[in-house]
Amino acid sequence: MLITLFVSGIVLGCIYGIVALGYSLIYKASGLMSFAQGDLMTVGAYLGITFYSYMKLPFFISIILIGVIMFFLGMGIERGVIRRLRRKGVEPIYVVLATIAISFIIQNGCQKVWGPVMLNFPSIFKTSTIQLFGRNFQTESIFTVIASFTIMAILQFFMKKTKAGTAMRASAMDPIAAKACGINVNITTGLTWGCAGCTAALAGVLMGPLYGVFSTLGSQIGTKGFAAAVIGGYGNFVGSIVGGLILGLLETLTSGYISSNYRDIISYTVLILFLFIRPWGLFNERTIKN
Amino acid sequence: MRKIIAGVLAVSMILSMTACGGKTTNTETPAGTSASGSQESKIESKGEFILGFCSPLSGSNAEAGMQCLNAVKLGVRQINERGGLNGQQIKIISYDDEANPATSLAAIIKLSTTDDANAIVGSLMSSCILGQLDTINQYKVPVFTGGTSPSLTSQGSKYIFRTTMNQDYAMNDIMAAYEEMGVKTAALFTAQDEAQIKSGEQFEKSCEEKGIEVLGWEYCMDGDTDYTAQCTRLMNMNPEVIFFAAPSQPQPLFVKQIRDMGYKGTLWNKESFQQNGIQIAGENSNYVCFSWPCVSYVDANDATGIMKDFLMAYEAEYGALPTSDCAYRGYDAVLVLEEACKTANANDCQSIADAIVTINQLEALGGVMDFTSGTGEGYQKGQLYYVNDGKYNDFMQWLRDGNYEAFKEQIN
Repeated sequence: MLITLFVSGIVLGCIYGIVALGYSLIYKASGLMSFAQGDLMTVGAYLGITFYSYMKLPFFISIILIGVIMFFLGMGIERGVIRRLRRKGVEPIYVVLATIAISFIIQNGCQKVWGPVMLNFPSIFKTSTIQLFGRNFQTESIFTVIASFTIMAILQFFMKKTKAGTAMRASAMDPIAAKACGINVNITTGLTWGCAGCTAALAGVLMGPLYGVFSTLGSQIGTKGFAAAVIGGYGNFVGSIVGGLILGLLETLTSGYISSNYRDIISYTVLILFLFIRPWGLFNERTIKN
Repeated sequence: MRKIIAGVLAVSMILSMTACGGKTTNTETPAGTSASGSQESKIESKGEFILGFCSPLSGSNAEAGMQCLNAVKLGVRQINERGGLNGQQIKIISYDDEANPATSLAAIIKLSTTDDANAIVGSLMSSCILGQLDTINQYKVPVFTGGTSPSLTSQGSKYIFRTTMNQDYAMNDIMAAYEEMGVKTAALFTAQDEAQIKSGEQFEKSCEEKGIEVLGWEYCMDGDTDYTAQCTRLMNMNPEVIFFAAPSQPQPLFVKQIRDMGYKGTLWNKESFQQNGIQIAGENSNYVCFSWPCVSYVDANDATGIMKDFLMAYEAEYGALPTSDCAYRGYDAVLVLEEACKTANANDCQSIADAIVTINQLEALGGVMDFTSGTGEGYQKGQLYYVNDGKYNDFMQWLRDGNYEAFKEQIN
């Protein structure tokens, strides 16, 4: 039982971690919080069904198309809503409220476009289950773990070792200084939101075969992803994955050895404890000061 | 200018108050049912029969709610084409209760008061109806419900009428099957809302009465999608059968996950396992069993009689067959309403409610409806089915043909 719960906790944690990566990316590069990440994940899942199941495109092509669409959707949200609000000089809390509104718009929009029915996301692999340590696991679960660590590594490399990533971080730390250095702050911020959209979409495509696709798929996962980001260190990519893993393992082990009724109580209590004791998370991610 | 505007507003107010006049004006008493003995007509003086509708049209239960509404609309259109109810055309006023009891209560109050509904097709969610019982009794508008919780009709309300089966009745059929199967151990998996918990409690109690050991009970929270921990615990219990009670969305997810984990025994649903669930769970849905008056279809030609007529009309209207039996609940409500209005020869709320309890041989989508017990229950029994290769099959026939022993050997 422990092995099954442990592996399942890792899988669940990786999903939370991917969503948390999106939160951290946006925060790292623009200093803002977005509560639309979970619902962008839902859009990604629906697009996955559309391209992969309905249009019968190869999975790899579907992923590329989804990535491109979600990139521009993320950029569109930043340009159309976030940037306009920031230009007006509104307090950051109002930007957060705007993302909550976007979240509801996306949920209802998905329902209008794809219908209220839960949709089946067909298996990506020919083998539906594989055996590990004597237990059966869905193949997509293992793929999710590999994908999440890969995305984390790519983002970490991108933000720390590339010019574009450095420009994004500079724009978030001090937009005026960044502009003075010749960095186009608007474009880099837009790129960040675009990348966050891609990340969310990938999480949705990974979740679809595991849990089906419905309009509220991302809303609860989004909340858990936020908690994972806080536990790991809001804005830290490694922390996002680690935070997700901690949360995922906590949930499955609590459900397995105590009761599923206490799962959320314990998970969110841990979140609150982190906020009291170590608000900068496990990886010492300090907030950006003006 | 101000005086003209004030005058227009005053006239508008007067006119609107006239339009919202009392429920019954010129009424007729059905023979032998009125305490006052009045023989005046009870046909509404307003032009339309207002049929309220209140169910989840968004969120995780939206599919069921939308299909129920579609079926109601279809039934209403058919009745209107036949001349309406006692000469009155039916107008539907619908609200999305979001499966939220508070929202549902507000909708029911609005339908009963401002909208002046003659009857209401109420929420599919038992938890919503339970929160409205006092209100329904207060306003005395007959409410048809597709909720399955036994609690809905056990409170003695004279205005609640169920157009699906009480889930307790399904339990009798399930226990009869278990007796023939020789089941010794069972486990449960349920969601945490009232209907599912009640179903679980009834299952537990019925098992105890039959000497079946209940090895454990696992729960899922609303919005959960990962049931690995619960499935792991259930697998460790190694029950002969697993009973699950959840709203339509978690059902196929649970079936998929428990089967992926390796459970091969029969899975028992508290209600019909819908076609949409079969599509999502795929071949994992094999040997999902249930007792229910009716099932969903992929081809209208597989049905017969009134069900076939309904399915063909639904498909012609909406381009696809309903995937949820909640559509049947809505259509049956309209059938009962039509019969009641015909019997009462009246369209007012009390006459409809009084007439419904006299209905005893109404052919409906799930069989014959009989409300004469006075409990508000229309269907008294269901049929046992099992799913195999995407189709519904007669479970008792399968059992009596000796297939269960071969099945047990195969899974062991």
